[in-house]
Amino acid sequence: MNQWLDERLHISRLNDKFLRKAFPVHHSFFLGEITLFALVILILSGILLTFTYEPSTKLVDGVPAAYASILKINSMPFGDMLRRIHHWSANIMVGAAVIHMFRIYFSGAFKRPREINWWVGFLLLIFSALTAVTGYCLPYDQFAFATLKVIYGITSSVPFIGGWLAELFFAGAFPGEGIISRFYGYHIMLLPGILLGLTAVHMLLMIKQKHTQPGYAAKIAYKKIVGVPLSTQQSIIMIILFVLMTAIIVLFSAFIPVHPVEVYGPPSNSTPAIKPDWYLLWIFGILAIMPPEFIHLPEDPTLITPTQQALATLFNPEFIGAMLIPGLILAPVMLAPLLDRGKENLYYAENPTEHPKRLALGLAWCALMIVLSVAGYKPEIQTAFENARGVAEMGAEAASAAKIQIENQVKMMLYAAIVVFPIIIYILTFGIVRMIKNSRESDAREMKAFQEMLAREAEQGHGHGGHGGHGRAHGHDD
Amino acid sequence: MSDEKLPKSEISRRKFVTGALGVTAGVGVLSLASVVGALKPAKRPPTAEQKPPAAGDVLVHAGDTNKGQPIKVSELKPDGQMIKAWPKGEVVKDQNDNNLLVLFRYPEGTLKEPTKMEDTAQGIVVYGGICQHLGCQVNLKDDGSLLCPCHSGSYDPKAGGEVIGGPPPRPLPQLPIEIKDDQIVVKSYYVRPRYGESVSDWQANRAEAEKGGA
Repeated sequence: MNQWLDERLHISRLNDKFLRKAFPVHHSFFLGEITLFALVILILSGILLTFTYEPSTKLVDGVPAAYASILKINSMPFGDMLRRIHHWSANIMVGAAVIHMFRIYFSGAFKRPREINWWVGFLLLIFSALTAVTGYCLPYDQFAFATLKVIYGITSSVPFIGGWLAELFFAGAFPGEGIISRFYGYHIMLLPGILLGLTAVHMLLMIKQKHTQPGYAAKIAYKKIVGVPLSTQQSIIMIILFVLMTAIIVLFSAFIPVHPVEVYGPPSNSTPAIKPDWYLLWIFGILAIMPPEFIHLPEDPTLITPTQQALATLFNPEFIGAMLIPGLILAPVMLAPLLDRGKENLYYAENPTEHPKRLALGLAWCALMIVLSVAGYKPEIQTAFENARGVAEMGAEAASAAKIQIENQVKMMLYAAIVVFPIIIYILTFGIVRMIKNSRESDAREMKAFQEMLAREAEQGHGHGGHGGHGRAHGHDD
Repeated sequence: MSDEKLPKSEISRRKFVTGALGVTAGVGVLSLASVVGALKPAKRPPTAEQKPPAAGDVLVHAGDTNKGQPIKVSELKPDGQMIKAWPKGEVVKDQNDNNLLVLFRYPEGTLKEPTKMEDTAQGIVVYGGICQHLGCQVNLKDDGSLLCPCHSGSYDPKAGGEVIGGPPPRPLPQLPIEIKDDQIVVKSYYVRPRYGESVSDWQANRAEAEKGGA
């Protein structure tokens, strides 16, 4: 059969070009594959979900059709399971993509000649997050309603063109009748199409440019591609990884529920406390600690001058907090390849400790993200402080004063942490790496001195051993 | 070279193809732009259920059990509990979630500045129930303050809906009310723009609402 196919499709040429591609053997190289397999599981489970989901806000038995269809999916055999698998895979996909990006960054694999693939990967992460957000609006429960309203508000906060943009993306003023079918289109056609296209580019570039080689490859065969071929060794590993991953996701889905829509209920007039998924918590945190306004407007709305109004529209905290600052935080990530001044092509993955500045900057950036995500828990932190100070037992006046004071303190602490925590992490990383480097160098120096001494001893024969021992002890004190 | 044979005024084949491609691409993109424009539906005037509150509207319960029934003053305890309400003109205006109102009744003398006292009645004060930050519905906390579940904006309903924490840019809009026949009736439009309302919209809506009855 192979020959029959080969005569018609020239499979052997495909084999030479793609199926023999060498894959380096290193566990950290599985992260990209995990991301890809999560996408495959997402598409498969997503297709099954579309068979029953109804993208409409029309009322069915008093609740929107979209919400009713989710309840229907939940009541089907393994229906709730299917939703959980879809949701868990989404979390795992974003998580694996983030860790994959860390691996690429810390090992320097983003450097010349792989800058383009770094940018494609960056876009993939952004579009994954967008796909996820459009996805969790679809059940159209109270959580989705509040989420949609918030992102509608953020879109409208773009200076001057915001209102127009929001109506364009959300099918009219909120909540327009077409909002769910519009988001369904984004979630199952537009964004997955973009994701698949970018993934194809990502793969082809990787095949064209080859993986960065892990360090051990240099010792085996310098400047040669070392690894196992896709067919058949790597493909077996891939199949095992895929099956194992699916099994783990199914196991998670069986025992850990995600987003129980019945708890939130259909859109109603009461919103429970909501937080976005973990990978958007940092933006949520920024919004929670933004100052209320940058341009002070007069109390009486009729006294607001057009200039004040224009300035307030331009410098509004929602736009700055949800778009400008996140953009400024993400920009250096995207620009990372341009900040590297190396002129040589990179063959081998670098040891992070040999690039202390890059390592420290990366970890400081992570520290910033963690602080901002913690800021998303501001109300919980405030409540903890209020309980610690016993605000409940105070009189009404004292209590409200104490609360305002606690809020300001928590805010100030978070502001300080945003500046201080990344700096501490930077200095700490730098110090530790310097220590590692120093001890490595002094080890090498001692080893060299010791060997020289041995050589000298061998040359001069006996009698000078005591002297050499002194020299060694001296080396240790350094 | 074939080009040399051409008279000077004639364009070369390459130039023609490039030009034709450019024109086709331009027309194509332009026609696509019209499709993108159509993604934004035309603005329709609000239906009766979507119109903002107006003078003369009666406040009705927004809860599940007694939805649509007028709120009776005699049944309100002055305990500071939050009651969610919709304004009702000829119909209940519950098809615009920004219309959601929250109502509190406090013992006489609890309300303080900057509450507009002339717009309250018998310790009853009414606000728009939508957070001024990004439009979520506010919740009542145990301590009697209001907390937005989205980005933790908080307000003091005893003091004119003043912002006492978090990112909201301005206080909750108080809705002036009066009491007629044991029912709570809207006296005039919100004292300041509600969530998502520009100052000019607010002025236009206020003028509309003063006419009442709509």
